[in-house]
Order: sequence, then C-alpha cells, then structure tokens
Amino acid sequence: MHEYDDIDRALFALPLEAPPQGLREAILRSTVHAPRRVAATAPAFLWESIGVGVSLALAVWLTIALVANPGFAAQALSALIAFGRVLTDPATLTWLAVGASATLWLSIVTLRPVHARTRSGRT
Amino acid sequence: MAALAGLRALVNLGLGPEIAVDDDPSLVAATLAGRNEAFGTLVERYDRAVYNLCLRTLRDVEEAKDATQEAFFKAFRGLRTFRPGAKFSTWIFSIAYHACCDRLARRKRYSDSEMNDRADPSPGPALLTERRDEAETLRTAIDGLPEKYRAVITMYHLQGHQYEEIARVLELPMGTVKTHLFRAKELLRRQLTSHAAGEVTD
Repeated sequence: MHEYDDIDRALFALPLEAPPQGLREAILRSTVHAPRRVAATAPAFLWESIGVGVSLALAVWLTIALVANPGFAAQALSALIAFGRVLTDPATLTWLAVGASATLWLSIVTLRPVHARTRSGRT
Repeated sequence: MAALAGLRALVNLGLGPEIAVDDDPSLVAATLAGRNEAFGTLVERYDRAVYNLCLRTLRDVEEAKDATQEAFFKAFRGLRTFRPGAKFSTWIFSIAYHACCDRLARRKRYSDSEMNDRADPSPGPALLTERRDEAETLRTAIDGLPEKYRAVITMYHLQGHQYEEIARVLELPMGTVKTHLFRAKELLRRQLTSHAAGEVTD
C-alpha cells in the first residue's frame, strides 16, 4: 500500500465500525419516543384567556356605566383630558424621563453570568 | 461511495413495514408533519456514519456515543431550521462535527496534559505490528493523524469525492480541504509504508 490510489481503495473498502449496542435505541428514546412537552403551550393559552377575560369585563363595565349614568361619557371625557394635561406637564415628563433612564442604566450595568462560547451546527 | 452504498443497502433491509423506503427530504418533511417515525428511519440511515465520524474525531468510544446522540437530538429539535434543498447527510455530519469540536475544546480547556496524551497517540511500529488486520492498521494510522487531517480523511471516507460537502461540514475552503486531504494521504502513505517495511523485517 504505497500509492494514493491504493490508499483511496483501502479507505473506501474500510468498513464502518459498528456503533455500541443500545446507541440507536438511546437516540430514538431521546427524539422520536420522547414524551411531548404539552406544558409549554399552557402559559400562552393562559395569558390569552386572561387578556380576553379582562377585555370582556371592561366592555361590560363600560356598557353598564354608559346606560346607568347618562352623564358618564362627559365625566369620562373630562377625566381623560385632565389626565392628558398631567402627562404633558413638564414636571411629569421630567420624572418619566428620570425613570426611563434609570431603567435603561440598570439594564446595561446588570451583571450577567459569562457563558462559554457555543458553536451552532446549522448549515 | 461503495461504503455508503453498502450502508444504504444494509439500512434499507432493516426498515419497518410502516415506512416506505424514501429519500431524505421526504423523511424530513414527514417528521415535520408529525410523523416522528420518519425521523427514526433517518436515524437508522445515518447513525453508523455519524458514530464513525465522532469516533474518528474524538477517538473515544463513550464520547463518540454521547456526541452521536447529541447530534441527533439537536437535529430533531432543530429540524424546522433545516434549509429545504440542503442535504440531510451534510447537515447531520455538520452538527456532529461541531459537537465533537466542542468536546475537544472542553477537553483541552480542562486538561491540557490529558489532551496531549489523547490527541495524537503515535501508534509506533510496535503497536502497528500488533494490529495485523489491514482495516485495523488503517484505522490506527488514521487515528495517528493530526486532528485537522483526521477530520478531512474521515469525511472523505464517509462522503467520497464530494469535496464541496466535506468543505461545508468542516467549514473550510475547498482549497484547504484538498490540501489537507493530500497531506493526510501522504502521512498515511508514509505510515503504512513504514508499517509494511516493519512487517517484512519481522
């Protein structure tokens, strides 16, 4: 076995080694036969339910308030206007900006654990 | 190529009655559609080749076993990211090779001395003479190659002359693959020649 062609021939004739016993079963157990994780879908469903429930309750409350008190619409409108005025107040805006910048700063300086570099096996 | 064809023939004989012999893209599509047993066919088709890639790269049966299992697990979990039109064999080899690289890097990080002991055990004429069997001699010679050449020669063994696939799996330029392959063959030739000379002397 001295030439490259001989090495090629020997390589291609080289039988693949048999995997250890139980390897295939172990792979199938961790993939094909692994129990499905149904719990992962529960939180999404739960939050959707909560969202729909809250919206429905608000709609019912608004309807009852409008029917029971004819002046409710005007009161609600004036409350909204007052709230808008407060929001455009320079002092409120200053405090909101302080809060936002503090949040941003904390999110930047928070120490994170150092993870080892992993390589993705995607092509 | 002959080894692959033989492997395919062997695998096809062992297929269950429920799943028709099919090509890889159909099996991937079937798995994505919820027919998990189709992935089982892919496992049957490639577990041996993937295990051999891991074994040659890591040179440790237990680690090769774990890396093979990890590769299939990752492939199953990430099957939705598999690019349509790509070759499943290239993809699974690539995942397996990266799993091996991670393990080699971990080995190196935790035990440099151990890594040196295990990385390139020079077979030596005595050990080569002990392994009379030609296949074993060749395997021993491959195991004695440096890691970068060993990976290329193993992929060449598994994929044949498909240099593009080899380059894709190892993430190397085509020219580098060819250079590594040439040097690997040269090293193998030298080792096997000296082994043959040793036998004649004996």
